[in-house]
Amino acid sequence: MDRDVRANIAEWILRRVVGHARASELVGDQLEAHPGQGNLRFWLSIGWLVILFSWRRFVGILAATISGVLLAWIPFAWALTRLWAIELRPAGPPPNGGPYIAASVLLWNAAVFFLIRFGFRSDLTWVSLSWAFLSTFAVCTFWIPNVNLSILIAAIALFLLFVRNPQNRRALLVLVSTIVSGGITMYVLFKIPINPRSLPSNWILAMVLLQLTLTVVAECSAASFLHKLLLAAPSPAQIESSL
Amino acid sequence: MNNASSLGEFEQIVLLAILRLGDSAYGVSIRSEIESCARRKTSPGALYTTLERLERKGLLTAWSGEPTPERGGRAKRFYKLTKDGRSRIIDAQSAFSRLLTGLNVLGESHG
Repeated sequence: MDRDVRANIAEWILRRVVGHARASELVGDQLEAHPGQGNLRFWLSIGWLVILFSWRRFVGILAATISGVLLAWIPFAWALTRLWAIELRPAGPPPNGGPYIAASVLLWNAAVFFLIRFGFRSDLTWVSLSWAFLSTFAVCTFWIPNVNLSILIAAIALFLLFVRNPQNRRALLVLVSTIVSGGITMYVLFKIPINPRSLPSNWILAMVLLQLTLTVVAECSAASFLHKLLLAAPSPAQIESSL
Repeated sequence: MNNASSLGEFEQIVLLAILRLGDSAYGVSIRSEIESCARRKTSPGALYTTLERLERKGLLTAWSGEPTPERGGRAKRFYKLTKDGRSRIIDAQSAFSRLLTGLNVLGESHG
């Protein structure tokens, strides 16, 4: 393959995971450091770079899809069986936890993705983990009398805590936008009617998993874009003052 | 306690190599500087992920140079330490220096 053609293809591939400037740098450095490199070694190097720069994103999406469902549903099921048994229930039919569980799924999706993508020390991870834990508490207790008020007070306290610091404020904005984009995607996708009689059970499971994965992909795409825009890139003034 | 401890060993090596290279620090030159001074083989992946992390931490700043033919018309991306990066590497190296004072680990007495 011609040197320029393979370099252009490699740059196009790398741009999908690292952005324009970094992709150009990586390919340029590769060409300069190994001018006579064969096709196999060149593509192995590019493939390795693609994996290095993108594994967190893919592992994050996979882990977020699984853990979002598990971390929202398991506490709800546990609370329903345990707390229900000790008479902490209202009179009447079982509670409708749909909106609480949906919110908890979206928050845990985001929290797990941020944890893997941006690490434990990221402000975004801490902000989203705090809200995710609050959502779990809400999922486990929302039907107990007066608990909704406690959840509301805790949510206001958490909001005030984060809104005081500019970095946390931006993290909160990224989180809210992430949840909104995931929520809209989830709402649209779960409106698609699936007729259980016309499909085998495995297909229904696959459809639900696809819907959940697409919801997470929407959340993660919005989060990555906004993180780059609001949290990762320093402003020109910051760069100027830091030199 | 200052936050210099959060700089990893390889991060310090990369920052020192960039300091040594001055205005000509870019991917290829940083790699060869590390290989010649630290006598350490560095994979491109390890170097670029570290450069990205240091940039994200605000310890490095980068700018593009002129496109060159040996790079297929692509520009070099040069790196420079920010004020914060410089003070963090100085803090980390001072800590090592203080710990070495009075020891004879390199065959000569320090301090």
